[in-house]
Amino acid sequence: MTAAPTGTRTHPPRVTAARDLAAAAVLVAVLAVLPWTEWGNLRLLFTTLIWTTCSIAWNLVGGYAGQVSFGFAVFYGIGAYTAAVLITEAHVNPYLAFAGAALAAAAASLLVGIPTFRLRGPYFAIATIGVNEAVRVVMNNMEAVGAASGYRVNEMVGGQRAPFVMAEHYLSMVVIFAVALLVSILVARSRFGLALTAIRDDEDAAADIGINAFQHKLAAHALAAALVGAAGGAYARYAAFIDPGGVFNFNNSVSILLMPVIGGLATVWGPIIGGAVYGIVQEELVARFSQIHLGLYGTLLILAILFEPGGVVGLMRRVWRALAGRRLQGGPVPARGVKA
Amino acid sequence: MGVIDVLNLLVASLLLAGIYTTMSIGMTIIYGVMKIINLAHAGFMMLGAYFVYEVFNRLGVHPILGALLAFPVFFLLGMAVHWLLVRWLPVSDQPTLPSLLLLFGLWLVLQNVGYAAWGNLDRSIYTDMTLATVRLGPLTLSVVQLVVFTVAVISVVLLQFMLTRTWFGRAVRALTQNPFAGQLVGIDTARMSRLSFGLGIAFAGLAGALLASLYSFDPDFGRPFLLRSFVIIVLGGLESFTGVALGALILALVETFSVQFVPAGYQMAISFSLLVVALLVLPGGVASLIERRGRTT
Amino acid sequence: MSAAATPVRDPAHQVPVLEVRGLTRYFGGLAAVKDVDLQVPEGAIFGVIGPNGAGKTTLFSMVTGSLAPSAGRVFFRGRDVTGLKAFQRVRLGITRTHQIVRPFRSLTVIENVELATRYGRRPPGTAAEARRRAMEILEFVGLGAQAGLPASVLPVGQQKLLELARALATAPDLLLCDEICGGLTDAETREVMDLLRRIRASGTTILYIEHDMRAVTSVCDRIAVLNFGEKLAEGSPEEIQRNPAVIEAYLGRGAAGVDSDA
Repeated sequence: MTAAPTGTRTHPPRVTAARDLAAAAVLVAVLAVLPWTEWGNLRLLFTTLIWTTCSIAWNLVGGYAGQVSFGFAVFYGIGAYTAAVLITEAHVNPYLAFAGAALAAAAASLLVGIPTFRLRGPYFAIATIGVNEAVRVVMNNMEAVGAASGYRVNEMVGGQRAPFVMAEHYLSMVVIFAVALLVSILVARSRFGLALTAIRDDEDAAADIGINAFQHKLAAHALAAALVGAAGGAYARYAAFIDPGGVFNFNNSVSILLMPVIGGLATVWGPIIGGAVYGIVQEELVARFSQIHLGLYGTLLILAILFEPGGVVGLMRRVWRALAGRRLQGGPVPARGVKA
Repeated sequence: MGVIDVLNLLVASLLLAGIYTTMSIGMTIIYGVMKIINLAHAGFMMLGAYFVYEVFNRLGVHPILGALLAFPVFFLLGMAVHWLLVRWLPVSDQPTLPSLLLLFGLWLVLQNVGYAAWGNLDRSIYTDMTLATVRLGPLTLSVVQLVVFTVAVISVVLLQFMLTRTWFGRAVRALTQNPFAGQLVGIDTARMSRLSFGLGIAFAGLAGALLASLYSFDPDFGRPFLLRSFVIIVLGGLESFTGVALGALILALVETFSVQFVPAGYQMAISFSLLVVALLVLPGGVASLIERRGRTT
Repeated sequence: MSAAATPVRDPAHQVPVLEVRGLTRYFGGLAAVKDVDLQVPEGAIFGVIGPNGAGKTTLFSMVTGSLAPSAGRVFFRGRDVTGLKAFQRVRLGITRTHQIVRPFRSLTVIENVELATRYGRRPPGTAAEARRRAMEILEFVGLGAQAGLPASVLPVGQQKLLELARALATAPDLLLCDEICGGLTDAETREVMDLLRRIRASGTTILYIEHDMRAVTSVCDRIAVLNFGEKLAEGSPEEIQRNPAVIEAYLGRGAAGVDSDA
């Protein structure tokens, strides 16, 4: 330990978003051109993109900020219904409707967050289960939008029912996904993202360095809800029919939570891996083994917690470090036995 | 609504509060000793219901007897689950995210077991007792509710006795206050955790088994009760079991009386609103759960 | 505003940086801190000592805003801050270190400090500037070589320095140090004392809880002694060391004749 500074040495370089942005741009470009290629299964990709967007969004709140919500289906459903009503009753342009859906979901997230973010960690999680249930029940009884029977979306263009164009639905979801990915990358490398991580590590210590934790949690929550709401809106337009049992289903909240946990919490690419795996597997699974999907997800969750809490990304990092450590001299290695 | 009606509702609330207490105590024990919020509680309640259903249908055992049988069975089951999965979780004086997710995963698995074994149709248990009523002065009481209440109260009283009079109970109370200090005074925390988890699951199974006599059930049965347990614990505090009983009574009263004015479908919304109100209005009483303002050495 | 809410001015007509009046905190029926008055003048290193359980950290927590007082008020540069939350007080210039270190374990050493610069009293304009300033502070406390390491791998002595660096990063006007020498060797303690003097020299007032009498007497201008939550004595280090009530509180009855030199 030196008492007097010996001159400022150069600081470790900041991690920038450049690499991630480049990779993201490539990914989005590839996805965007698919409708003009031979690729046949736009529908599968469409639903996968919905799941992945929700996964990325949830990761902002549950991964970076460490606030595990079991109630994200609420924002999905609110987005779906908002877009549905705007398109059908007010004949709003679908893309504006998606924006409206995002706003409505964000507003709802404030209503939910203000009372529940006073709770710490697991207590917050359980409260969100309650919110999910309460909203589903209320919507089941809301006659104005069809109650439990559901709501038909009627998109009119020039006095006639709009035609169904899969490519258009798909591309709108690519845009929403791209926005989600951009937000995720920017948050991860920003002061805001660092603050969320600090809040997750130690909320009181974060307050002790000037971070308004409550405000930050609400902001992350609103951002995430907006993304999920937009995805819900896109779904509503595509499916042309939504019902509370479908969009507000607790299983949706479960799936949204599962993907980033398995893919890798608090990373940029973890939720995407989780979402991709889930979206594709879900299609195959529900088709053939619908009886075991709950058990499968539960088992995956248990295995992840017991063996690799860092998810797929964590696993990959461990493998990489093991391989790299053998070849390179490397920088400082954490001393074994030092308690983290 | 006449006086008789009000009295009937009050009695119904009291009876309901009894079973609610039994239901929440399982979660409270596990939380108290291990600081784990057992989300799989709902799954074990569901299994308790199906246990008594099977025992009734295949062996002709009376459901109340079946519920009593569930207790030791689920105690052993709980210890097995702890040995297999829960013991790997790190010890903490605060609920942790891994514990939450692990038990949530377990709940999903249990639900799947439920669906696989029994499908998704509602089941219920009918005996002579189910529709019978008894008159107590001007009041009409449901026999099955009375019996369930009695079993519930006896189980809680026995638990309270055990906590205050036995070494196990003293160890439980010590660990509830400070899991780390417990090790220092020679308590075998691993064994205590296993026993406490088993006890918590035993109460979950018992509660589910008792509830099977009152309500119909399917594999998703536990979730509203899980939420109710949480509401109760928040209302009553995690300090004592009398607190849990008090919270159970409040919830039971709110539910029973609100059904008179609000469609039954809104029950969940009511319970949840009560939770939110409790959190916003009683920060002192639930100070152990929300913003910890007392970081002192 | 009632008279009770107006801060007292000291003879030099300078508003004390910190004034605490009648500060009290109950936990259940127990008074952890009872009716404590303190005035910390500008540029002082003001020590708060007392046996374990005397209420020192509770007092600190009420000054920083992480704990609400049961009674009493806290004034910062003449302004009543009793109702403000902890993060608001940081923005005004009150920061603390923790007795049991609380680093952000998911972040590196420099990220811990960088974050504090960006949310403190004088946030820099750009991320690059924040990083540069964080590095300066790390060099100042002697952690420059560890900047890129995860905060979780540092040994306890360096964790304490990280606490200090992070607190300094918020550009505090009033720095509260909570037993920063706990667990350090004599050599490390001397270096921390030196750091404190240099921090004071750069214009920050320091309020300092310590258990180690030697450290406190060597660096503090003025000391207050707490016992069972009440202020037992206040004065210069020499006065405190000679005070029989203080000696008795630390060493027990009849020890008043013991040499107080060590």
